[in-house]
Amino acid sequence: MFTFNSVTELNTYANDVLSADPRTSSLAVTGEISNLTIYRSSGHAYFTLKDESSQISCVMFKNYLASLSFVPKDGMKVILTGTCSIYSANGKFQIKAFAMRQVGKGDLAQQMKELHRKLSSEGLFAQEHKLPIPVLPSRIGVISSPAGAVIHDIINTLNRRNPNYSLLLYPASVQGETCAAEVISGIDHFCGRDDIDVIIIARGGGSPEDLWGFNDENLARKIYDCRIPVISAVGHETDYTICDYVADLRAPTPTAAAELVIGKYDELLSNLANKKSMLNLALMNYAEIQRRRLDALKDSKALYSPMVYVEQMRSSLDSVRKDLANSGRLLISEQRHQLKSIIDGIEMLGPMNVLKRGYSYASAEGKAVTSVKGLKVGDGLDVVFSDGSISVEVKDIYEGES
Amino acid sequence: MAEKFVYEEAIAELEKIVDKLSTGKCSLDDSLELYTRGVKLANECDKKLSEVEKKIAVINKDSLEEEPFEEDEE
Repeated sequence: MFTFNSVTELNTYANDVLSADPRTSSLAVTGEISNLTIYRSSGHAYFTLKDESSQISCVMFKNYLASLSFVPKDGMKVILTGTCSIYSANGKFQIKAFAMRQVGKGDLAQQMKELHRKLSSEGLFAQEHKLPIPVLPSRIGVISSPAGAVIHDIINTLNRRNPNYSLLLYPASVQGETCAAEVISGIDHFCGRDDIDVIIIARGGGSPEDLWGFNDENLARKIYDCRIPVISAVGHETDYTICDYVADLRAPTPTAAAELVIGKYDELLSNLANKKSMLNLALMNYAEIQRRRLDALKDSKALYSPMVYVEQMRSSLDSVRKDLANSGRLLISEQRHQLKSIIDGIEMLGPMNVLKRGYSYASAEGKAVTSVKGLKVGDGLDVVFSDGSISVEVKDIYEGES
Repeated sequence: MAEKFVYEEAIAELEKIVDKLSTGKCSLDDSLELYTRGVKLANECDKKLSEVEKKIAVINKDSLEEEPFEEDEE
């Protein structure tokens, strides 16, 4: 039997044994969190990790806690990694946790990925389908928890940006089993009214499990079919849900959603004032343009006396008439000249002209005789001159001579 | 229900009217008509900006009636 001199010595020894054993000095263990306390002063988290029959105390120091991507909660199933030790002061056997991972988180991420792929291929996230968000909605429908910071963040932001707005809250649980169904009822309710111009679905940040209701396929389809523009403001900047993808606009936070849904009152006012002055300026410009046109017309000579105009017209008419007569005369003489030259041309080529120059031709029975062949002594011929013809009789035939 | 007044549409129409009027190519009658319409739109926008009464309500899920939403102080 070994005798320890003190409790401290015993606890220190036990601690050393645990530290020396590779299994207890670096371990991972699965269990459910309970009795979680995060101390305000130190920021360390103390909790119990348990299964059906056993439990162990755990501590996670502030700096490790801060590196987690989620906030641990009672009932959460996690895998802890850390080291086992005995806290000497009270002999408590405990785990000092360095990291924590949610069990089943991988499954959820996988499910979301698959749903995302499915809905994306059906075109539910298509940019063309997204509705524009109105600048000045007459009434904003909010689907959110009536308790908690989210609705107050939205109201505070709206108050800051625009004193005049109307908001209608549809209370819905934004966590747990009924979340998707309640949000769907909210959308149905707003779509059944005629006073809602835009819908905000809002929820604060949370673990992927907390936000799981917003990865619901039916909710996604309901948002897609919704005739009113939907802004999704679920979780913090880094949290994405299917609801965010299918909504007409995704706001990183509920506060941002409120900023997106209502234009800054001052900006709207000054923009309107600007438009008004542009309208007045445009009318003044119009009047100025018309005045200048009128002045120019008034300056024109025609307006001095109508007789000036008549005289101008008469003199130009006279000159046109003179031109017309001249050109008519010219045209006739040209035509005549042209005709004569054509006639001359024809006469030059005609047979009568040849006869005039001393030639004559012989014909028999109305046909010109162009050869001595076929003629016999005693045949009768007509010889045609330019001014008449005579009948002759062939006395001799000399072939090959002219 | 009367045709719903949409702020952005009214502003867009107002911009078109200003553009049209600025060209100086419309008839006098048309220009006056455009101007009148423009003033009417601007006044409606004004009204819309200032007339919405601040109202925060919550749906009672049992009766589906609106009830005033109490903003509790934090």
